[in-house]
Amino acid sequence: MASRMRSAIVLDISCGRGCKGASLIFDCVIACVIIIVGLAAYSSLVANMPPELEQGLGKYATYVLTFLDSKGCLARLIEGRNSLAMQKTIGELIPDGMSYCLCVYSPYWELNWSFASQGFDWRNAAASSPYLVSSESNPEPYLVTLAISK
Amino acid sequence: MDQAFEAAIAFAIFVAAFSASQYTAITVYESSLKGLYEPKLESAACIVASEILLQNGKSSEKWSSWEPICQPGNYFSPHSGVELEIKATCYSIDPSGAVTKLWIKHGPPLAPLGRHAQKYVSGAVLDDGTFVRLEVYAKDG
Amino acid sequence: MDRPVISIILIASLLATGSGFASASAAFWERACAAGVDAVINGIAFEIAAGVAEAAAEAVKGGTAVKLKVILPEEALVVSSGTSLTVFATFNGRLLNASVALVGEIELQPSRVRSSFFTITAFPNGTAKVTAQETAEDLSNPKVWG
Repeated sequence: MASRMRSAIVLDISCGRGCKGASLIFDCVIACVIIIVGLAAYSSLVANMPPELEQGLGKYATYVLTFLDSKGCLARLIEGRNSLAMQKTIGELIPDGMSYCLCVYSPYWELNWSFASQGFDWRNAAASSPYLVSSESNPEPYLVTLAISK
Repeated sequence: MDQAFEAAIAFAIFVAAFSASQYTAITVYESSLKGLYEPKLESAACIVASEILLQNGKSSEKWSSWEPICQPGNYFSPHSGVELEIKATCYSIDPSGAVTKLWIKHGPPLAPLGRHAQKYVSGAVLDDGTFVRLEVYAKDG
Repeated sequence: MDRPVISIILIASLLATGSGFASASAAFWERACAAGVDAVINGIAFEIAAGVAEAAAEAVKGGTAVKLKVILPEEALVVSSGTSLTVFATFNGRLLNASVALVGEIELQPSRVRSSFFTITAFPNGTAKVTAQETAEDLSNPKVWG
């Protein structure tokens, strides 16, 4: 700032009275350019904000788990660990253009395994509430969460 | 230089800078206004989905005889400037884990909604063990 | 005419045009701000209505009472009765209101609440009520009457 002022003074001294107005206009133009660049940067920042997390999606994921568990398919899917079957079953129930991640935990919240479909991103995902799944073959129940991302 | 001529140049620069800054400010304003309208549209979609779920409940008969209505006036008011699109899909699952699509009901809007429409997804497990996925899209008309 | 008179007229007209531009833009921005504030209050009303509808659907589906919390960026007065709810809020000293009516089977119990934290309670019979959420401060300093 000080150096700019000095240069303006130098300009003023060097070209006399006539140039004072010109240097003032020049300063105004620079100020305008700075404001416009700032506003443009802000607008691009606002436009590129990540989409807000949808509360409804997490609830929908819980319904999907309830439906899968209704005929004992969820326990079979988890024990089978078959990604193709998973893709066929869960992938069909998830809305178009969305991806999902199924996480299976032990009753002590240790991650046993997880399966994520292509394009899944935790940054804009909503997860179901933990769902307790028990099966005949395994005495310990599993905790399952299903996360859906846009 | 003539003073009047200098003033005219200064004015021209002022007009150029002023219009450029106004143009940028209006662009910023429009993008922020879009952010202000988004919660309203998402809420509208949520209201529509909840009312449909409330009407049909868990009854599979009600769901199979139900037809989607895309007039927002049927769900909430004031409804000016909101366009809706409703899509419901029913699935059944057999013990082997195979999912079959039983039916799709689609209520298209008067004009196709772009990808900027707000979406709300909900689901319900019906009394006969089938599952309905309800997707509602709302857009500023 | 004299040259100075012409230049004075020219500069005056330039100034007048410039101030015309500035006042036109000021008027535009004032209207734009009003539209933005209206959008915010409308969004709040819709958000509470969506909460009511969502909780009611959940309560009817599950067969139990459902509680849902809504947190607003501003303090607002919510008046609900029958099928409609109205939100009043002040922005920069201006009192604004927006109302939403649910054209469905949801019945709102009459209430008048001023807060920024709301609890929506929906019952399986399709009724719902809006109450103020107790804040941590209220819980630690319970008011004792009498």
